[in-house]
Amino acid sequence: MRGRAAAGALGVLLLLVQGCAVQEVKPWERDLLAERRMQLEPSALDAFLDLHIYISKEAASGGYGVGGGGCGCN
Amino acid sequence: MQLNHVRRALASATCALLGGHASAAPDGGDGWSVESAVLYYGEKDRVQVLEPTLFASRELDDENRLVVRGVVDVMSGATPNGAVPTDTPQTFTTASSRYTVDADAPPRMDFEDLRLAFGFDWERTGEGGDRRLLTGDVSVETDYLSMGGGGTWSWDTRDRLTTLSLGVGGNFDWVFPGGGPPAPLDPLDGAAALHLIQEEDDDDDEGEGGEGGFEEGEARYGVNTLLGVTQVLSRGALLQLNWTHAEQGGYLDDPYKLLSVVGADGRPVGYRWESRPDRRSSDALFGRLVWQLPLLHHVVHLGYRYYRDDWGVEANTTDLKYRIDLGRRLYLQPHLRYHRQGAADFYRYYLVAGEPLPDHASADYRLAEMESRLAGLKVARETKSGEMALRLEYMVQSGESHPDGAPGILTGYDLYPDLEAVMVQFTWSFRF
Repeated sequence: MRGRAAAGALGVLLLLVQGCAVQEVKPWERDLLAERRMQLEPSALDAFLDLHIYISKEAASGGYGVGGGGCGCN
Repeated sequence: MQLNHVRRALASATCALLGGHASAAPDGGDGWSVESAVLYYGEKDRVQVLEPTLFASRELDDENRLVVRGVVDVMSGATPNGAVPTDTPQTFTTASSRYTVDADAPPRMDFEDLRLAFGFDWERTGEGGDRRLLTGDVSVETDYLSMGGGGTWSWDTRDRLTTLSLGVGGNFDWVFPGGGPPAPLDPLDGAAALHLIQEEDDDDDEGEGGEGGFEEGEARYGVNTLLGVTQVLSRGALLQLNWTHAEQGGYLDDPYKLLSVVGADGRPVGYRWESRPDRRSSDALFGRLVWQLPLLHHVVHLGYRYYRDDWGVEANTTDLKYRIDLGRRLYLQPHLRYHRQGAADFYRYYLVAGEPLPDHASADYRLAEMESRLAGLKVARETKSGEMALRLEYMVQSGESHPDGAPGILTGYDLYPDLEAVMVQFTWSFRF
């Protein structure tokens, strides 16, 4: 039930974004998007270390990707 | 503890690098690109961690890219064991240790541990432009082994403004504390535990944990899935939306956490091991905006996550990074993060003597209702082949000091002392 609600919310958000906010960007206009600082995660290492801390100290996790690999962190 | 951190960070980062809209990988070209760091994480009066980390990546050919990574965690310090403080010294005797906590002090267990973790990503771009990411990870501690892997597939729409991603992953962990995992809600039996300790001392060949070592461990496993959309909004803006679902099963307890059983005066009359459900189902909805401000050319990274699971935990997390370039190579990046979570249904500060035992109970501070605030600053200088950076961050977690109706002397103690932590990270990336 919660899964369907989350998927529905994702769909609605996508429609809103598609319908209201998207501007056409031509291939030759992608110079800014190609910069490292404009990547979704400019530093994989920073994100890796941050998530290790947050997931060790909080009850919530997920949202960023899939896979496995944990620890018995205190 | 539920941790799927290794893959999530890398999957996220790799998808970002592979994203068709912003696909100029910063570390392309021949040879290896290396990103190395040393992180010091220090909590006030609690856990200290030194964490050297190395990522190395290489383009194998036009279609394939390999990333390997290694992490060493050197951990020490003290961690809350779940018991409440009281006005006399408390001695805790378990199958692997015995320690005494001073009167009026928050009960914490000293520990030292070493964690080694290794992993890889294999990224392959298909002829049609679709991208596949396969990952694998192994992590080893003296009482914990974790193995995980996953795959993420991404496709662009024809205009290459939208990317759809689908991912599935899993992990298998083995928990093997010294003396074996305690039975849920069992009382701490000091005499029996002491007997075990003495047996271990008599047999040097059994190694860490002795009786009830690796082979007496318990399994923990999980499967998680991802459905994601990345959308170019404009020449300088990008939006990512992910929905992830995770199912965990097996031994989900923390084998070192316990609860005090208190009498009417608030003083402990005994202790019991914690007990968590053996299943957990969770969903997370995550959105991230990357936006380069017109005129200023500063870059905003704004993320928000809503999390919910069937243990009753609900959480909202907001994360903001704001990059300010100072000239061609130097930049500053302030970082703010706010996390608020509700308690798990079975979270208790303590158990009350004479009351029926619940099916599940845990006093793990990470399952409590609490807020976490973080502020930090990164100063970096880009070099010809990479970057040198220093990051300083400060985090505070705070929760309710007492539950309503806390008995007797417990009203005089802070049962959820703040967690204060500093993080200092030096990063050096280069190519060879």
